[in-house]
Amino acid sequence: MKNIQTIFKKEAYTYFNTPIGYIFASFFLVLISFLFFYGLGGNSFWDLKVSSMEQYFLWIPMLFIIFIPAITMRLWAEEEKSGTIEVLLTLPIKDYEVVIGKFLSAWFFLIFVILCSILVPITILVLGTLDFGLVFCGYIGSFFLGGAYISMGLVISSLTKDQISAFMLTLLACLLTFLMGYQPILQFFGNTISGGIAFFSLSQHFESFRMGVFDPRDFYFYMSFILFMISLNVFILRGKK
Amino acid sequence: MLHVENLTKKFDDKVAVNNISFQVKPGVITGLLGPNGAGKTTTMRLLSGFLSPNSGSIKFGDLTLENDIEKIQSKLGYLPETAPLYMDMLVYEYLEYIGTIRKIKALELKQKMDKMIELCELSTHLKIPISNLSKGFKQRVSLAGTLIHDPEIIILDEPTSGLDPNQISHIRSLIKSLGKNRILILSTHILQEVEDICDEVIIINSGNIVANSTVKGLHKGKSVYISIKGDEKVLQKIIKDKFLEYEKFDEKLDNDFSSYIISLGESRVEDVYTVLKKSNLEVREIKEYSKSLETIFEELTRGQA
Repeated sequence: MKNIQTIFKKEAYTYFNTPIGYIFASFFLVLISFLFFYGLGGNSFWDLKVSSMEQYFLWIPMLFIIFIPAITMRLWAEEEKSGTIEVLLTLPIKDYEVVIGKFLSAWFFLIFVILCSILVPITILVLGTLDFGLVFCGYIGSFFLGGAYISMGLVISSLTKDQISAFMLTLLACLLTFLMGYQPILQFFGNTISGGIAFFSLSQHFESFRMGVFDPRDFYFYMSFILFMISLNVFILRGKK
Repeated sequence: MLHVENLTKKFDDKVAVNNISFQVKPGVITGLLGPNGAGKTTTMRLLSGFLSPNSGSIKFGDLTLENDIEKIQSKLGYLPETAPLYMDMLVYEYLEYIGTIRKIKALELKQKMDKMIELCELSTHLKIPISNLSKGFKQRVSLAGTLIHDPEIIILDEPTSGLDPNQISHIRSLIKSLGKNRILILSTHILQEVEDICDEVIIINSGNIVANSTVKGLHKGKSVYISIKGDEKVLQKIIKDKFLEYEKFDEKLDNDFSSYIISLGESRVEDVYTVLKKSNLEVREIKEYSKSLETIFEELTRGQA
């Protein structure tokens, strides 16, 4: 546990002490606030004039496709490129402790950035009434959706040697898992096949959270996905030896 | 004691380390020599547990790397070839981070950090980001991180690379003092370094051990230098009949004398004298000949680098 804590601190320190972390956090917050309040069509907060955050959480899976790869790209690719992986993996520390420490730090950073958007529900609260259940579920769902994307990005980062490749491949993987739950695409498949495809879509399991419903099945799906990806990452690290 | 037995490592079809076995005793500084791509770094990575062998075993005392990797790594100080560091960290943050993972208690960590800072002469650069340091300083920070927990087993891959002559001399004395009671194995391209600080040397070529001996043992006179005048064909016959081989020494001597190096094999210098005495060759000089480490290295690794 102490080792996980040490790795977590070191990685979190990197997020909070490098400009890139702040740049992406600001970019994410500005973009999501803009999309929510002004939108790209007639579905913006000011157009709908409804004191709800449902539209806000609609944008979350899409923005994660760009934002998550930026968080995870450096986690292993940088260690590999700079050679520090050789130092890290010869320290008396277990592989899974390193993976969990790295995962938790990236997840923590994402949760921190998402929580920075707290001014959005406060603004809505000032302007009207707010469904706290929906907001709470939406945030919890965002955390888990982000966690699942991060675990996937971590695995991809461990398979690449430079950050750009890690970013691009994670972006494609996130996009793929998003599109797997996107109705206009699923309609091309039969009901059975599309149901099967949609089950593995990360964004599909976010829908219930977005609607303000806490469905344990979705919660277990995300937890299982994260654990599977962490195990896969440990397996990849051992395979590299 | 470090025991390496029948160690093999392959990368796809390429054999990087081929069935090598050797031992390293505590207090005996062992140098790993070899041309580029010979398998030195792979061997060191295997010893540190960064890579796993395809076959063979590595034992440190009663512990095997396969079963007790964490115990071994807690006693191990490993300096990789490029001295990799986290560039966004400050020098003292890096040492603190390594010390914390090494489970050094807070109070003790402060003392150990101070000791390393003094030993590696880092006091003026503690609050400088590692990315701003020169290559020599980076090497010293990396070395400080390697030694911070006072390891029993030290593996150093080219420890003096990037250092200036003063720093090289300082680090060499440090290695010498560390190697007095520890298992210490280092790789280097600098043959002078091996002669200066190593007690034993292992020469690797194309993944195989081609020499494993004490540094003095490598030099030991298995050859003899002679300076003679006479028909070279006569000499050739004598040498081929009695000894292994000879080569003409590249030296111009006066009065038609020429010099040769004769490989003795199992014979002694006295045998050369006896044989030459019976011949009608004029002999001016016979002496034991010791090859330089450069020559030995070149002979053992020739055409393979």
